[in-house]
Amino acid sequence: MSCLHIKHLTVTFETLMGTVVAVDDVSFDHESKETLALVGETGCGKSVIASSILKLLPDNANLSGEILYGDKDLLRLSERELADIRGQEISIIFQNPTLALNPVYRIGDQISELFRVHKRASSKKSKAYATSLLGRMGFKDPEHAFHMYPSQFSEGMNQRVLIALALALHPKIIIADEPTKGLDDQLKEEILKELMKIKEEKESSLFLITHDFDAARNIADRVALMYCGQIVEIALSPDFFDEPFHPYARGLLKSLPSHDFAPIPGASPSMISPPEGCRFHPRCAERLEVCSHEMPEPIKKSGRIIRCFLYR
Amino acid sequence: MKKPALPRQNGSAQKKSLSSLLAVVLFLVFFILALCANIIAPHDPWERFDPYLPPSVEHWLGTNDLGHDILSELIYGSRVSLLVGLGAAVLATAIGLCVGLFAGYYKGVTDEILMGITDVFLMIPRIPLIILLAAFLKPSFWIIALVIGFLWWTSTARVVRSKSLQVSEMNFVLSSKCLGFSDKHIIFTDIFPNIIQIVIPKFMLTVAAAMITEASLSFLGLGDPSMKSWGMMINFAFTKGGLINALWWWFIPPGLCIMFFVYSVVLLGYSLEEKEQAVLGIS
Repeated sequence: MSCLHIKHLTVTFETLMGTVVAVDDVSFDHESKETLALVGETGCGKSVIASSILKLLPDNANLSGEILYGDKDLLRLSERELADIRGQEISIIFQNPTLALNPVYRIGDQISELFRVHKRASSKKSKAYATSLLGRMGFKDPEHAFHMYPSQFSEGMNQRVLIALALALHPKIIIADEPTKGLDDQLKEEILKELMKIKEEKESSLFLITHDFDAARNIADRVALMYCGQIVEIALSPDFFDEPFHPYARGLLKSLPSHDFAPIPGASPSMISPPEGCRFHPRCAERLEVCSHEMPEPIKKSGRIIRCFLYR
Repeated sequence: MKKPALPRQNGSAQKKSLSSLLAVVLFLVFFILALCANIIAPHDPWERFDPYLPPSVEHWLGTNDLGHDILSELIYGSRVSLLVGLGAAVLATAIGLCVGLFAGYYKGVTDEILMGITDVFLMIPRIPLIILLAAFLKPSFWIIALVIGFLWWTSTARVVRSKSLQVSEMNFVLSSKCLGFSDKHIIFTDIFPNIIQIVIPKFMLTVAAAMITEASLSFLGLGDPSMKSWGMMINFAFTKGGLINALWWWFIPPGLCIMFFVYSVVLLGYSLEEKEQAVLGIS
């Protein structure tokens, strides 16, 4: 059963420099209980997809397409209806955890506030919930952690608090926007492990946005690769990493230190005036004649979805 | 944000802390005077003795034309003056806070409308309007406090708006939104606590402005004659011949009281503001 359908989502931003097409005709399904990793380089529109699911984009963004959650189109819900979905049905974990916590409240109060407001629990009960949740997130002394301010915690501890916040109300979908950015390897592993553990327990699905291939390989069921606002390949994680189809995917994997460490030639294109035809063709080693003037459409091929003329 | 303690405070910092200490002491003295007026005052302010008595051991500040003890009047008067000042400032700060918070959080049309209203209020000539209102309405100090409150919120609204614009762009507001909290909840429990440090000094300065206004109005004879505020005392001294006959004990003390209280409040406001700036690393 799939729980989130994204159909032909296009997001553009009006800026002084021109119209930026941040997300261009993106369609994918997010099955329930699965872990889907959205990978791609910085600035390719990954976070914009995450933000548009919960409609958190600034006013100069234009969205078109559909984001279906159950029978509701999230793009057409009112703020009020969205408030009921945010946090309780779909929650998001941001990068920069320290900035995402209110500096004037204690950690515990920020967590128990959720239970007080959404579950109408008494303050004593909410406190108990919050403390147990902190304990589950790997704090040795949750009572002590409850009374700390975000500024007294390290980045990694705050990230765990943020994950606790996002998971507190047992959402069906967890969106994690680069949850491990700026953390050291050991902490990264710990946090991902924690995230997966709770995700399994609550039977939620996880939508992981990352540019960390190792993380994607380790925890994702499926991988979606983005390039310049488009999804160029969606495949099961083992397939994707064993034998990537799209030339960009091959190039990326080759550029990893554990492989050839050979970078893809050229630079990522401008989002304001993207190249004609296939977005990737100026950097592609296997380009065909057709690539430079025609845009490939996504097609299904041996269980994958791919946007490339090589597999037509 | 914690800075290492400086080994030695320099002269100006010491002077600053001294002046804020002075402000706190003055403020507390007046506050206690107003709170415990019935214990501290030597006489009932309405009790009549011989009129025009100069200062003596019995009447430290003499008596007025009706034979009321001026020291007692002064002490009881602090109640009225402080109440008007604080009441008006509470009202003004509450209005300014709400306007600023909503304008800064919702932005766009809401912001335009609310700031438009603020601009209109800024243009109103306030003292003439109050004089006009006081002439038409029954002069009572509640009405004066209300009117002052309704006219003095504009600068608070502007300051709060600019800060709330800034705070509402911070990530924790976004993350509160993602956790499904309502706008009202976010405004009052997420944004408000983050701007309280700039509201308090603003509040203090509004108290000072309200007290000066109340004193001016009372002096012009537009105050509440049944409530003896400090401004009213000067008004009586002026109209009942205290000034012409140089009965200094009648009009100097209330003037000094107004001056010292306003001074203490302003100083308190400034030192709070400076502390805030020091924390933020401005100045």
